[in-house]
Amino acid sequence: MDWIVGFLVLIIKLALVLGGLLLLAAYLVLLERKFLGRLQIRYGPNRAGPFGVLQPLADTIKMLTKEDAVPEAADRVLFLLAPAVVAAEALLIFAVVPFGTSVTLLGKKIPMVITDLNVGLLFVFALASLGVYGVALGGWASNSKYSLLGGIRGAAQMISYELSLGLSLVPIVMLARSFSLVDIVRAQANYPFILVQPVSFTIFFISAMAETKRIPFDLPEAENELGAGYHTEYSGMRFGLFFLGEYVNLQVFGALVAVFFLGGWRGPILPPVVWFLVKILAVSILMIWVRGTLPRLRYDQLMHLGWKVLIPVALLNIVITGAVLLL
Amino acid sequence: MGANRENGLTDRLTSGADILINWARKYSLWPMFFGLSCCFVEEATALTARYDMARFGAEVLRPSPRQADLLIVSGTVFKKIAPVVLRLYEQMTEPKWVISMGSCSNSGGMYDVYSVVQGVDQILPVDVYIPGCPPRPEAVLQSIVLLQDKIVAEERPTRSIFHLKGGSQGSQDPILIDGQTKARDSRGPGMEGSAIRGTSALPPGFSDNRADLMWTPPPRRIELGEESKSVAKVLHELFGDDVQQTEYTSDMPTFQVEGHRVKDVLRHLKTEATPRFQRLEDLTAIDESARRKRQEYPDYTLIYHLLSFEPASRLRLKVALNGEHPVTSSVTEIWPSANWYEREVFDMFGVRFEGHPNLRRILMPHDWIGHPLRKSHPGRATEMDPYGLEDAKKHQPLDGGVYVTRGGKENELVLNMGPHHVSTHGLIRFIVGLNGEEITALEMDIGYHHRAAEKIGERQTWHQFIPYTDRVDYLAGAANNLPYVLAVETLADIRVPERAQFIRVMLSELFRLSNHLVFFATIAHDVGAMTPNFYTFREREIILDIVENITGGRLHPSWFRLGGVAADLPEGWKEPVDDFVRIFPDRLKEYEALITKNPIFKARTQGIGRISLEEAIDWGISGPNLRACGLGWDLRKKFPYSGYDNFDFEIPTATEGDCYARYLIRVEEMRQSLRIIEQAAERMPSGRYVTDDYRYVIPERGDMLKDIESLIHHFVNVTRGPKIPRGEAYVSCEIPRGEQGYYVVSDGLGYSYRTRIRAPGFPNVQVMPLMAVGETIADLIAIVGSLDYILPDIDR
Repeated sequence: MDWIVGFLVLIIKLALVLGGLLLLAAYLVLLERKFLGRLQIRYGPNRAGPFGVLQPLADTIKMLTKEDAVPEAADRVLFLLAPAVVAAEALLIFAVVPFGTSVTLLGKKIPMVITDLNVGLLFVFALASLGVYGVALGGWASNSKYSLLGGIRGAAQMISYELSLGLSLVPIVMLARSFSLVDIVRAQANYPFILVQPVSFTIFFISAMAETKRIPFDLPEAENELGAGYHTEYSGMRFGLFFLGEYVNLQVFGALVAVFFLGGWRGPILPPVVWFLVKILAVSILMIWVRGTLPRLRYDQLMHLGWKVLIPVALLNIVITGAVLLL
Repeated sequence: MGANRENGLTDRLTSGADILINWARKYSLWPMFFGLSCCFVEEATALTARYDMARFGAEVLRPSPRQADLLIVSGTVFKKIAPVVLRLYEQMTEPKWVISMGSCSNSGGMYDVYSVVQGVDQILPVDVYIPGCPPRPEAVLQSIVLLQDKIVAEERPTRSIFHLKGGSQGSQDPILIDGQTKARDSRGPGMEGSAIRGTSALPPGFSDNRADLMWTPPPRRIELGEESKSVAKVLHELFGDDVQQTEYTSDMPTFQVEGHRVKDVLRHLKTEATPRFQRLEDLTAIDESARRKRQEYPDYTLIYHLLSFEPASRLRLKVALNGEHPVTSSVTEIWPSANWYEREVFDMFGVRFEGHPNLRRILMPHDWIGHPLRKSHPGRATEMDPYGLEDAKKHQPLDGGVYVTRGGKENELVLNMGPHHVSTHGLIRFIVGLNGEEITALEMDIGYHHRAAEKIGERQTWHQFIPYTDRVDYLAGAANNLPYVLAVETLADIRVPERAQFIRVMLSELFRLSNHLVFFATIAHDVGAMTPNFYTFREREIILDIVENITGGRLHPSWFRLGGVAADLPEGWKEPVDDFVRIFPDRLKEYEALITKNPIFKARTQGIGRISLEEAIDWGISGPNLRACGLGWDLRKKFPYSGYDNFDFEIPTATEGDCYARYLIRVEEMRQSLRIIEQAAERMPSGRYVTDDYRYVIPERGDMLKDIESLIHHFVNVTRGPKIPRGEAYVSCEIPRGEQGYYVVSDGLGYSYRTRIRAPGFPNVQVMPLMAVGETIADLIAIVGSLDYILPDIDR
């Protein structure tokens, strides 16, 4: 009987996480539109429902009922598949993200994580790199020059920044002595790692913005240059899935920053899950703020920053951390 | 029975779903990032702080038609762009709606002219029309609300979504057919009986022309200085009777040159003469076939305007051409900038230039028949065949491969940017050869915004043409009026009172500021910063409030008149100006803090799109773009007009000639303009706002109501137009984007014989391949932003 209970618990957890993520993604879009509005001395959406709270619902229904056009010259299978890859990859990462300590329900201990893999961190990277396929294939399959340029930019950018993203976390693993995300949070019982690893944090944050393709790193969809970039030919909910993927990714990296640097679910007074959400939101708001402030880098400057600045600094940081740990 | 019950259930289900879907759609109308001309500026303003279209959920501008729900056709639908508009509409996914914004898009508006489709509803179904020229931003918001109401009231989308019978969604209105379901008369239906006013006085009829009965003094005559005399002497020595000096002139020394010698004369003037005339200011032609004293003129006259920088002076050469298809020699070897000018003359007049590297149409579509500026070509669209859906399907632009070839290299890509693209700043087409992201070739295809202002000048009276000048550079408003009124005033020797001059200067500088604020917003946006435009548009709104308070208009005040301005300054005009002068410097500091020292902005603009001073002069670049190359050349200082010599201000220069330098110049110019505005407001003289010599001008209102002589002048000058003496004049002014000149030719009638607009954008854009080849595609966008061109000014 045990496995049935376990299975049920898993299904419930999955449903909660999935529902929560999608809801949060929808409201992150609204938050972004409202917060950008405030940065730009205006209100933002406020007509759909009180204070505009139903805006995400309106947008979702609109996109679901919009025509789903596939260009005649497109590679049909890849074209239809690409948006799903982006959205699914982003959602899957949350399988290893711990939302809090275990809770005891009806005498059973239930961990607040879908699955605590002992190689959780590697799992995160494996999935994050799958995201490239969605962008590159989506751009290529559209058979449009703008999409293609966007797809190529996306592929190059995401592959480059995954290196610095990964390298920036090596010191964290060295400190926590584990690849498990739960253990990494536990290792921050006394102090969050941002205090001892500010360099790692900076590199990770910058790389995370590049991975999520947001200004100043939004080159794959730089509208001033490439129109809508890799998703130029997508309409309706397929475009919506790219959109969704982007905002789930925002949460993913918010959650990862919280787990690796901000002590995960830890915090005084409030329950752990709430603390975790607060941290995700704080990181997301910071990213929105950056988007509202900065111009965009050029392609070669982006590569330059990744390969010639972030990666060497990350390597140096590993050496120094190693030296300090040895001493 | 059973079927009925089933139907009832389906109906109840679908009508419930209809309510939900319509609700969702009305709050999620994402407009296509699409604009045609002036109206788009007001559409964009509707997104900014004071209006905030985002409140309706409609701020998500989509650069791809696939993701857009709403096409706001904002501006003039040209025959050259109509096929592109149609294609974009077809690329949009169902359901889709169309808002037609502004008079041009509704009906052609004031542009009943050969290049303009008389209403977008002839090629697309339209849901909501917004009247106005341009409509205010509030009107855009209202159109969104009206469309929302229409969706809720009329659409039953569920059945369409599930492919059932009887549903409806998106635009359903029929496409109108000119002359059948829609009146062809631009004045609306029911006016067929009466002729369009003024047509009887136009060539070739002149049947109702009473101008010859009126006496006017001869045109202004100038005394030539010593330098001009010595130039004339040297030319006479070198070329003998092939160069004849014109005896009297209103503005600058003028020479009649024999066709076969023109190249030698121009080469001499550019390289050997003292002073050296280094810039080919303008090159155009006149079709003389409708002259009233026909025998005194050749068939065509070519006009070369030259400029010398040191000392500042101008010179005009005229070349007589004869025959149905006249031929002359190209001067592209002497001035590379002559390339586009000669193509334009070929396109508009059918004059061929031997030795031209690429003589083909430039403004008109490639399959156009006839040469529009010939007197025999129809001027009005309503005189030509109606333009319909079939035409829009047929006349697609040429493929990009026609302009740029890959040169046999396998891995090069030809990318077509435009004629409609987020960052082309209007309707211009860049055809880019790409190796990876690096630009290997760049060609431009212009003319998508050709509003035929020059042809319109030949049919509107001298006063009626003023509103058209506003729209030549739609961001520079009243500053556009100035070169036109100055040119006519020069020709007819009209003196302008000092107060009117101060008002003109103040308004011109207010518009320079508002233009540069838009520049600031767009260059920041071009390199990816999305926020600055909301802030600069906030200050721009303050300026437009001042303008509205004084003139009653926003973008297009049409405020200057021959001999002065339209009305006196209103009561209480000064406080808002003073307030603005007080708050603006701090605001400017804030913007600079965000952008000027921003490392990303610097990395994106420094060293990009560099051009040397020699090249800039050779290619005829003017305005801030020239000053960024290190030459302190500003017409306000070099040829002081309208009393600019009374003001204390500086001309900022930079030496780098790159995008960043062009940006810095404009920021500094904002400070200088503010100084001028402050001085003008402080020292505003009292007196008349229009000259008291009422021969040519529209009299002051009070006089017109009380004095019979003034009333007669008012009547004649408003209806038939003032008779301007036979002659010609060229005046150029420093408008925000550079030197805009008007060359007006009068045949002694109430309207001009030929109006030529020398626009700064034309040469500024022609030089772009020099700046962009070798850079990346992102740099091209930064260059576009830094050059600050505007399309109606390039295509006119």
